[in-house]
Amino acid sequence: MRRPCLPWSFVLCGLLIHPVLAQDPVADIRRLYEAAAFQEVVAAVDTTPIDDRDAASMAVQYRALSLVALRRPAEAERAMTAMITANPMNPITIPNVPPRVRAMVLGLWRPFMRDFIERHYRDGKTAYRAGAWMEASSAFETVISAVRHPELEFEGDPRLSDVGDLAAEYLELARTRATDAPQGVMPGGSQ
Amino acid sequence: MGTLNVNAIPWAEVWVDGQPIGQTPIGNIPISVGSHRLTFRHPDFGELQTVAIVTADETAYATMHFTTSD
Repeated sequence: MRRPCLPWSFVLCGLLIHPVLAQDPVADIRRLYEAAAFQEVVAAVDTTPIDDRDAASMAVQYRALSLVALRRPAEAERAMTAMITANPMNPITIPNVPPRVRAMVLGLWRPFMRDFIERHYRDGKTAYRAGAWMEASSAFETVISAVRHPELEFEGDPRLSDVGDLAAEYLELARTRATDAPQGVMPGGSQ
Repeated sequence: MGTLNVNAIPWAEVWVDGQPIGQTPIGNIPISVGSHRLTFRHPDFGELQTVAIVTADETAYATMHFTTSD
């Protein structure tokens, strides 16, 4: 693979071997991305272990952007799906993501979140029926947040709006039950 | 021939020698050897230009920063 070795990028090459910066791999990856060294971003992310969850998420996002730039759409789509799966409520956490890439992410994110909302609604109801009020509340809160997420624009969707309304009602009931009964007590006296 | 990788911060529509090539980030652009005028346009930050020097069988890299904040 060719390295970015135009004269101006000597500074970049120097920065990359700086020992202090080597302690912040995401900063290095971001610099590579900003310098249009897209092949190098992909290689760096694929070979650099990053333990911190948020940092790893950001690295995956720079990898996805670079794959878009390199016109490797199948790999870019897989990377974006990984971004969404890792952080369904906020898959884009890096700055300066271009509109076309945001649109690509949104195209994958919306259908993912439809399933995500339905799944959490079902999980919430299951927990509610089991008397797991806190677990039910958490699931319904997630449903409501997802339905009302401003970037997803689900508010005008009749099906998801209904799910959101039902989740809000279940949430209120679950919170009420949580204050009335200890965890694990079945609703409706069927303990 | 060489290739060109182009990026802009935050992002930009890009023209190479007056021809639109799309929105950043853009990589692996096949391009003839020599100097090429790059024009970057962002709806909020306006237009900036630079020149990329492309050498044979190498990748040239060009980045435009519209903002100074990190």
